[in-house]
Amino acid sequence: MKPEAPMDKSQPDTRDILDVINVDYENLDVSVLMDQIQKAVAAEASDPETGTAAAPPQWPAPPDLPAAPPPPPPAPEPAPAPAGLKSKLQGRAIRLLTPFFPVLRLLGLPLHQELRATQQSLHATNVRLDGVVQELGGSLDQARRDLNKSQEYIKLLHNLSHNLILAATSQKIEFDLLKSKVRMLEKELEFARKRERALEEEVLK
Amino acid sequence: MTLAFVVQRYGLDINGGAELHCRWVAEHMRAYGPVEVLTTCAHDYITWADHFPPGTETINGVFVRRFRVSRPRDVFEFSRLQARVLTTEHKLEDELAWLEAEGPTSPELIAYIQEHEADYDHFLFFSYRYYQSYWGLRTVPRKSILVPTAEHDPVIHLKLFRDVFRLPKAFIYNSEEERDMIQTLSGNRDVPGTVVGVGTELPAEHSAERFRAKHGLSGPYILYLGRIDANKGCAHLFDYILRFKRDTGSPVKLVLIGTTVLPIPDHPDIRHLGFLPEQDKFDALGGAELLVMPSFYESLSMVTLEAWALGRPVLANAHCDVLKGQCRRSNAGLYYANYAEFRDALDVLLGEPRLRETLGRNGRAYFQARYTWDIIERKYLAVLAGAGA
Repeated sequence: MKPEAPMDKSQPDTRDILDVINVDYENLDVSVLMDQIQKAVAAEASDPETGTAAAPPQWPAPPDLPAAPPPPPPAPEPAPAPAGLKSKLQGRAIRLLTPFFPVLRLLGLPLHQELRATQQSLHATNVRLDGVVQELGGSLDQARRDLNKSQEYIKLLHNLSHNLILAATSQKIEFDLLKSKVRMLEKELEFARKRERALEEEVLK
Repeated sequence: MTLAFVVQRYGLDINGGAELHCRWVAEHMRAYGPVEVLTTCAHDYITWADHFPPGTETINGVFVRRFRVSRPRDVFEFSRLQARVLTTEHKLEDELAWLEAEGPTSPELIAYIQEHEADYDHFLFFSYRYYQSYWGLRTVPRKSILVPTAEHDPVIHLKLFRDVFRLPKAFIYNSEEERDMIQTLSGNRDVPGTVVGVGTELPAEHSAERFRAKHGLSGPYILYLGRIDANKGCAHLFDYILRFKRDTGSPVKLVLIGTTVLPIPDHPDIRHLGFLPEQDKFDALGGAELLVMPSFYESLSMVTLEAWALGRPVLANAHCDVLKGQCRRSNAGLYYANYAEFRDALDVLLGEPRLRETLGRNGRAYFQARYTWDIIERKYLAVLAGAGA
């Protein structure tokens, strides 16, 4: 819906409500219009960029995870070559082999075994996590269903207590009224008895 | 058919909702038979101290009998008793003490009603919560009609009023919400009740230009009419309008007309004009983009009806059932329950001239269909006939 002649604003609005509201002027219904405004407000509140909804929680690290392993010791520097032709050859060989040092280190040190062990451990962890997720998924669905049931039950209880209060209030009023009437009847009865006695006395004279 | 209107205060310069309501109805019902007003000498609704001389006088053709207030309200004592009956377990005697402290305590008025019951066909009591209505209804229940002007405030839950709501021969309610509230609280569905409300006195003409020129106003403005009080939601209104202007950059002004008991923010776009004559009020309404009604408690809101009578839309507090219900029934106003809804509803209203015009037109039609004086008078006559006049 575009405004026909909106008021000038000294600074632009970051969010234009007029773009999200649709007014049916032929059958204007304030309730429908307010529903649209309330939905727009709710959508804005849930929008993480513009809304006021809380940021998702930052989950803390599980306390029982092992500490990260210490970094491997640096690779030993090659020993200084003896002087002369041999040292020259050694120097060239080292320069040629420099790019392959990481691979050589991997082969020379037991790192590959650690990697394999870590990989196996990760795989086992993944398998366990899959199991947990599967199990939790079922439990979560169940919990959600239980929560919905509980909410409905609470609503019913609320309605019941409300109705009970109304009924009790009404009963109390009725009770007070009836009590007053009983008192009046008692008085009238008492009066009738006195009158009866007086009449009896007159008749028996 | 002789009618007695019983009300806590009465006078031309008394503008309280129920009192003005009573005066207007009394003046209009004068056309159908003798009308008398039975009231106190009070003018101030805080202390009820005697202000007018006791005795009789005629105001706008209506015969008025005034009775002394036996003791003015002790504000501290009243506050103490009110806190007691609203927040602690208590007995009916405590509530009666609260009623006595609330006033206006005028046993002379009640004694007069008792002695002269036969002189009147009906007693119309205005405002359920005051001394004269409580004891008056108990004195002449068979001839009484109650115009409760009840709001959703905590005192309506007091036990002493439950029985009172079952005493009158008939009720004249201001709104459907008021009727439902009283019927729910007291279970008095068997007592006949009609939703009537009240008309309003519209001026022959009104001029927005005259108002703007007189008060040096330019640009668009929204209007608040009435006492400027936290109880009327004005503190929220100030907060919301300042945030609205900051968030949207709107040039709209807020114009306030009425006496204030609340500090007003020092902002160039919030203009407080004080208490103004009726003509100025309607001139202001005529030029306003809309009327804002932030009140939490209303039994009818006459200014809302006046805005609709002049074809102005309304933005009302959704926490007030009556205002929200009136907006929905009339299709003539939007409502808000929090700042985000206030901002968006006001933004839509200010940005859409056609929407304002349509809502205003609906409001005028709603007013014409339910609140013109001939309709109000006819409804009163029907209630009186039903009550056995």
